[in-house]
Parts: sequence; C-alpha cells; structure tokens
Amino acid sequence: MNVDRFCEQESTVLRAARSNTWDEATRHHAASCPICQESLRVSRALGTIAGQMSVPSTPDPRLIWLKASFAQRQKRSAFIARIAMVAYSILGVAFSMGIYWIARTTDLVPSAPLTTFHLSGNSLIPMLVLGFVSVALLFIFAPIYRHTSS
Amino acid sequence: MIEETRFRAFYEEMFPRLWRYVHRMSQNRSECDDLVQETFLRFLRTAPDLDEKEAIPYVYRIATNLVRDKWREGKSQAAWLEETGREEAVSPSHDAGIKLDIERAMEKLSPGQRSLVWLAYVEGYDHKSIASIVGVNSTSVRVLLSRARQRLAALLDESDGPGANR
Ligand SMILES: [Zn+2]
Repeated sequence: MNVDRFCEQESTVLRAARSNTWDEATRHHAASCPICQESLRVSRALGTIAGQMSVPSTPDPRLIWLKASFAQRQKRSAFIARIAMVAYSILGVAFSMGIYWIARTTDLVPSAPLTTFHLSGNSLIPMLVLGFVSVALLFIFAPIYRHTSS
Repeated sequence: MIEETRFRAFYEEMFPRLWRYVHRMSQNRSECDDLVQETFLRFLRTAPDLDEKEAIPYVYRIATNLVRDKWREGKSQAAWLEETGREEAVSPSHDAGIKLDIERAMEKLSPGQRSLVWLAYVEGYDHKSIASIVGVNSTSVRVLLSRARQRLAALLDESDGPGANR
C-alpha cells in the first residue's frame, strides 16, 4: 500500500461524476482505470456521510458581525492613538525648541551649552512654521486622543 | 470589512459546509461550533473585500489552521498530515450500516488526511486550491492525497469484508 498512484484524468472523472454528465471517453476511462475507480468510490463514500451529517441550524450571524465591527473599531482607535502620541512627541520637541529659542534671543540663557544648535534670525520662519504645525496637530488630535484613550 | 448583507449571505451559504468540514477534521462536535464561529470572526477581521471565488478557499484555510493549531500543540506539520487516527475506535462491523463504516474508516485517518480527502472529494477542490488551503505545495498535496485516498479505500474494503470492492 501507499505507492503513490496518480491519474491525470482523475479530476475530469470526478467532475463528470459530480455533475452526472459523462462523455463517452471519460466513461470508458473511468470503467477501465483502477485509480479513478478508487477515487469514485472514495468520493461516493464521503458524499454519503456528507449528505447524512446532521448540521445544527445556522446561528444568526449578527453577533459575529458585531464582534468583528467592534474589534475593527478598536484597531482603528489604537492606530489613531499611536498617531496622536507621535504628534504629541513632535509637539513636545517643538515646544522645548521654542522655549530654548526664546531664552536665547532674549538673553535669558547667555551661555547655553548647545553650541551645535545655534539659532539666528534666519531660523525664525522655520521655527514659526514648526510651532504652527505643532499647534495644528494639537488641535486636530487632542480631542481624538482623549476620546480613544477613555 | 465586507458589508453586513453580503456577509450574511456568505455565512448562510457557508455555515453548513464549513461545519461539516470542521467537524470531519476535528471529530469533536462540542469544539466544532466554537471553531466555526471563530473562523467567521477571523474571516471578517482579516479578509479584504474578496469575491466569493476567493472568499470560500480563504475561509477553509482559516478553519484548517484553527483546527490544526488546536490539534497539534507541539506536534509537527508532518504529524498532522501523516499520523494515523484512532485505531482503537474501530472494529469491523457488518451490521452497523454503511454510513458508520465510512465514519469509522475516516476516524482512522489523520486530521490532515481527513482534511485533504474532504476538500478533494466532497468540496471538489483541485490540488492547487487544496495546497493554498492547507499550506503545502501542490506536488505534496498530490502525493499526500493519493496516500490518503488509498488508505481510505483500503479501510472501506476492510469494513466491507474480504474481497469486497463496491
Ligand atoms: Zn484514471
């Protein structure tokens, strides 16, 4: 047993048997091929138990649908919360930079140690843009973040 | 996620088919309900808006993975496909009816073999589709299915008695 045996016509024969539409060549092959006969026999046997299995009545899919919808909403909320956290981080950095810049330009910190981060009058516009973006992000995400984390 | 009305139609068509398949693989009626529900839940969570042609094999793949994960717990893919089923559950019986004989013969196959023969001979899937459902290549499906079919045929012969070949 268990010598691997195949017949290229097997799927044609099974299809013919399932639809009960035999052409002469397929019928002749099925009658003379032991592999196809074996397949037909197995197919009929399994068809018998498939047809006689008692399946419980189909439950209402509404509950599954609601569960899946809830899971999807949670997933989406978690994603938005992550974005909000990134936005807050950017805002925090921008805020710190803003404070530092104000301190430098008003000579409150005359000898700040960040020598590589030298701000001049030319960096005023990017800084304003960054500040504006940060505030916009705060306005956009703060209500969502509060909502999703509650 | 697909629309609720489409899901409902798909579910109503697929529930009995999937239930039979899962029950046949797991051979455990009490587990079967939960596994089928979980299959549909995972389908909704993970499936993009598939057309029916893709959705049906996809739902079979989810079910196969769920049953396999539950069954094997530490066993290998080879065991799932090759290990034989419960020998002790079977004693040849001529008066138990054809259906019972087939049921008993199926019990002797491994869950993976039951899955293969069911997909091929009840659901009518070709080797390529079965390969995508059970997660092995089509050449292996051909070989494994041939062995499962021969084993099942031999078991049916046994239950029919010597020399029988309906
Ligand atoms: Zn043949």
